[in-house]
Amino acid sequence: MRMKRNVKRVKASFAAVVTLSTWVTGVTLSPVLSEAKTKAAPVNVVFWDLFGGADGKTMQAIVKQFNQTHPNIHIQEETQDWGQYYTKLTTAVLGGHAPDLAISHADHVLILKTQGVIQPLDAEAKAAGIKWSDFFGAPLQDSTIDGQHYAIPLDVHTFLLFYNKSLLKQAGLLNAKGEYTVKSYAQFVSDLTKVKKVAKIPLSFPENGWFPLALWQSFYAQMGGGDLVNSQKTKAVFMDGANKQKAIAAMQDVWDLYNKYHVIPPNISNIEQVFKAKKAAFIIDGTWNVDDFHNTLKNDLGVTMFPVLFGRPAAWANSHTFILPTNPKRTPEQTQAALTFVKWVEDHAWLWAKAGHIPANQTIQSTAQYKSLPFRSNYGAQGKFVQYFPETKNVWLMTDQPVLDVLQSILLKKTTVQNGLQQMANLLTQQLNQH
Amino acid sequence: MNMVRRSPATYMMLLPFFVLYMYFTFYPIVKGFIISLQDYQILGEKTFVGWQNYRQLFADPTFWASVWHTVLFTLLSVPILVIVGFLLALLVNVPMRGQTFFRAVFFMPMILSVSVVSSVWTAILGSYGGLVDALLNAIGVKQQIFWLTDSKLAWVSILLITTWWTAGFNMVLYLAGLQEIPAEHYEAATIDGANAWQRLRYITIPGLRRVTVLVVFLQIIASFKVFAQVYLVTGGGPAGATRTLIQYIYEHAFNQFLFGPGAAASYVLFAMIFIVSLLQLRLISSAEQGG
Repeated sequence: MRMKRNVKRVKASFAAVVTLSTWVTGVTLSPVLSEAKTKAAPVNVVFWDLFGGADGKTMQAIVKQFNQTHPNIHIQEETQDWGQYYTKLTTAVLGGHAPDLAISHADHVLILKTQGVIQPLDAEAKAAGIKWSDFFGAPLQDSTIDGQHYAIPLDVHTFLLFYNKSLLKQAGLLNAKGEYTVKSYAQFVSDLTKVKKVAKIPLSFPENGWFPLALWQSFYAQMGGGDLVNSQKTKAVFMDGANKQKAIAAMQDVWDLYNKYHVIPPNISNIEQVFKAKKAAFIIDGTWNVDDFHNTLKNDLGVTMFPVLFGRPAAWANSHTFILPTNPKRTPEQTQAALTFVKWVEDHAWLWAKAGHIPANQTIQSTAQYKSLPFRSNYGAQGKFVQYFPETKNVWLMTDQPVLDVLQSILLKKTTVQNGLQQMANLLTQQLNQH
Repeated sequence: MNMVRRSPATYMMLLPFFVLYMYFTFYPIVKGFIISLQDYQILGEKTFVGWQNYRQLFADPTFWASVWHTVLFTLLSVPILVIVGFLLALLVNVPMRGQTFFRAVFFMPMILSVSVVSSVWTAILGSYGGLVDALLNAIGVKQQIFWLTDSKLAWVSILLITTWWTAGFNMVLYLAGLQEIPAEHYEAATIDGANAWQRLRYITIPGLRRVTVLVVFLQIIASFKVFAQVYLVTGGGPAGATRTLIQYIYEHAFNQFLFGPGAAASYVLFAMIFIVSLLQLRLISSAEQGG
């Protein structure tokens, strides 16, 4: 009996607290929020992303701001580990616990479509007022399969050339405006050699992972090399026909940076760390580092577009895109709410540009908010000449360890440039036909 | 059946565990084998392909390299971890001030998670500014030593990290074994004029035979399953020089979604461990008869 009474009392006081707090928050927030008067519970949208570091903080702030200004919708952001992201996404769809909205890399969209993880979103995007013509061409191309849109591009994240102004000044490499420009491979090598006097590490860059692949692909595209993979996605074609000479020449130029001119020292385990510690004069790295580098190096930081060293402008890039995972439990209201969020983020994409990325929505670049961000206007135009890893049905090159291992063994002189490239092509072709 | 009728309560009490065991351990084992014989699309069709996944596996040089790395790691790590564990046990068995403290200190790394261990050692061994690099610089060594990215030194580093991390477990097993050796044996030997080395050689080591067989048995299985610290510290690099079999399985099944070949590779690992374990079990039973 006593128990029961206690339970009742607890229940009563709990109810009182809830009522009180609702009333208090209602009172304090209602003047701020115009739409706060609606009584209905907000539509909950589970949103998965893979943003760590600066990306993560920026997206959290965006979700917070959206939720505050849209009391009818609650975006429940769930950040998954980058390395496990697609495994989790696929298994979540399989297990019937898919999120309502998620992020995918542009070059991963075809894989997700092939696996049946995502669905086309033309009708939903149209209803939300998404204008496809606002976006840069490259991410849009990867998001479109057989004429249908499967993803809405959020950004373009690409390689930039960062440099340490005080080290470059000591080496006499800055122009009158205090900036660095480079026009050719020969000049780049000669500048990197000059900077050896003042920096232990002329150019900070790894020989493992996907970075060297992205560098090689950028050089290859600048030399006029064609697609890495055929249009049926069944064969690697960079060692075929006219591509072959370009593939070899591009790899030789990458190889020379490590092994002939020694401007990329071997085995740098943390390329960002040595640049921030002022041991490196240059670093080629992603847009996502702009603010982190700026916070550490302050006025010493220089940021410029990825150098065009061979004729045709091209720079490795990728995009984050919004996707609708296959989820039978998602109600039309949730779909609509999810797209409302997407549209709002696209319209306010200067907020996302704070993470360093170039907004996929080109119209953002003319806004005052975007222009006021440091360095962004130095490289915003790069969105026009970006080069993506090939989109395939089953192989994601960013984590394709066997192919990346062969590339690393080229740079470590365990195989020759030509044999290694041929081995990479054979391996990739084999993988493309495996399923 | 007779047994069940005689003591139904016992079997009723075993039932919940039995059901869970069948569902969460036995069923996945069988299912894994079935997947290894299939072209397994996670959200699509699953077609039976016989031994094709295994044939594909045996034709892949990366697979054989991973098998070799795993065997190499086992061959190197088992003696080191057993001997270091044994020596640590001897050390902390000596009656002295702070004995409990030292026992705790040597066991401590064992309670850390693999991610913590890997992060700490990456910071210690990293090139261009790691702790070891900075110390060597301070005493005038200007040459860079690539602890984690040279294909030979990477193995040395992994062995070092694994020893630091897990030797404490073997130490505890040996320490327990040491308590079981009657003190009178040592007393009698001392009276007969045996020196410290002789006491170790003729009393301690034979007295620990059963523990040693157990420690080696557990260590071989653990070493065959090496993955996380390697994956986190070297990523299997440089250029795949430290890729182990479990990493190969992981990459196939969970990066490339090739569940068939992934499952086949895990069955090869299973067979390897199974055969080694059988040999070990025979050794254990002969040790028990002998001791």
